[in-house]
Amino acid sequence: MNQPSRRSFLIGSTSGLSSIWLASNWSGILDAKAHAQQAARQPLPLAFFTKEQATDVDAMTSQIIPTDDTPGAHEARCVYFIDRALTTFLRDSQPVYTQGLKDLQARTKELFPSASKFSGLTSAQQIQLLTAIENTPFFTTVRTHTITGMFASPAHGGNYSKAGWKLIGFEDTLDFKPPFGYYDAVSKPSR
Amino acid sequence: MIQYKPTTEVDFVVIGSGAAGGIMAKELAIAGFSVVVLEQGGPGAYGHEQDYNKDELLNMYPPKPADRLMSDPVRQPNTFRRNDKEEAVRGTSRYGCVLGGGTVTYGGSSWRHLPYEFNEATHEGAIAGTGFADWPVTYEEMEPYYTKAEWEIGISGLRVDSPLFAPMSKPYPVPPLPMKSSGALLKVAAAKLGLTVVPNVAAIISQPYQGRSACIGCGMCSGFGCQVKARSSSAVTMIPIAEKTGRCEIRTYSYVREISVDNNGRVTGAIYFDAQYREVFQKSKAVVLSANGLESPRLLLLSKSARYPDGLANANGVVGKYLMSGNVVDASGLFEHPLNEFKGIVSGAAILDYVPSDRSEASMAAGA
Repeated sequence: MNQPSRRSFLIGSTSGLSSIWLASNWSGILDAKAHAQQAARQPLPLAFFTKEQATDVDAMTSQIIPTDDTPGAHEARCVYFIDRALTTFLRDSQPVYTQGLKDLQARTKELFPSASKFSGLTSAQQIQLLTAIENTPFFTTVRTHTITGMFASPAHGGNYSKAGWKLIGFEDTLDFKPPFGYYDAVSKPSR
Repeated sequence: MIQYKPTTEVDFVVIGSGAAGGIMAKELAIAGFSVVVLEQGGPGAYGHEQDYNKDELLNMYPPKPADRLMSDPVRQPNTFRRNDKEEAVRGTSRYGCVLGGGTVTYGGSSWRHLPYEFNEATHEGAIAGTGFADWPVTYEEMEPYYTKAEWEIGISGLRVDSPLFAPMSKPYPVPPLPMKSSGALLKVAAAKLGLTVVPNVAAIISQPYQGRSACIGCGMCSGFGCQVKARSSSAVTMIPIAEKTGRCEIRTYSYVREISVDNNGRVTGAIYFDAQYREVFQKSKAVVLSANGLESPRLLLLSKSARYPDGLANANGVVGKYLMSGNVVDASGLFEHPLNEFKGIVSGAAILDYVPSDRSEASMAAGA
């Protein structure tokens, strides 16, 4: 497999995350994925992007946090998070997207003359293109916003049905009682 | 709450309502003085019916400036340079900017200084290029006030009998918060190196105390307001007592730009911008400046007059120099099982050994 699975992506990027946890919670995550995939099929109203722009951004986010054995950015509706954020607290990023998506379109035609849009490329082609632009402000912005949308409160449009939180084992609970983690008692003399 | 007219000369203007300002306002008001507290930030959620929330995104991008708990790098920018030959560059330093100041949003660590730290310069000798100096008070003089503050504010901790721990005349009022997995692992690893790990000393109550409820372990400490008032911030400990005296007025959104003096060099009050950015002069007999390590020297330097052309309290020219911020180094690791660090308080444990009881005997090089 050329591309990193989400599993390796998360393990590589999130300190303290346990692969054991993922393994032991696999069935719950798969249920969430089926539910989220079903829901993600319904198009929602857009606030900033055109339908074409949203499709390209969705394709980008889906490469950043891909759907594999578990839900990815697509199922978490990261594109809707970004869309809504661009008309509210991330308003300043509007030009980055407007110009970035134009450039993405131009780059798509340049690299793959027969293609008309980024979202129409094969996964391998999309990755080839994104790799070419991975150091641009546009890509780094989309990457940051994708991750934010994946794990921010679902109230902001992403992290649909808490797909991101389930993935990393974050419990959306007001209060927590000890033991908090597996090792809380490890220093106690009885152990 | 009592309201004073700006033209009425009050006994004290207190600038800032944080760790120091809150205590000053409370002590002065209880002693019978008339007090006006000028706080740069808003009233915070304790002034409203709704609680603080756990939404990290809302916390970072509050829909209204009124919901902001820390300074805004755009509205309250800062620049830094190491000496006057360097060009100052934009910094991203933020501070608590709400009623209660930094005590509303800080992680809660509330350690005493150790005795040797009060006269460190005597131990260590002069260090070129620094303003290294002893404190004008000793630990023995401060000890009763540490105790008073810990019991009035509400501090969780374990008194440890060790030369590495400041001697205490009384234990902490409430026991330490539960050790998290990170602290427990640290303790085990540190023991192998002969180091001592103790629970953090925190201004977050582990048990109900003085009408406030205990920490619920929600995990949202640093940068967030406490939803259950378990963090012993000035906003829930000192300020309410000050207000209850009927002699202390809290004015939020009051951004002081100058401490004013008369021709004799005596303070006459403070000039500030109110919520509508109108300039207001509040008359007072005295001013308490308690606006944090950055804003206090800034305000002294801004308070220029014919009598004090270099600003207030600056006869020696060192105001605004030798600022030393707390440095943070972090490391992360991967463990087989979950630590769930999103639960519980931020700092659960501390290594004592890197805090020498007497610097002449211990090597700072051991510090991490």
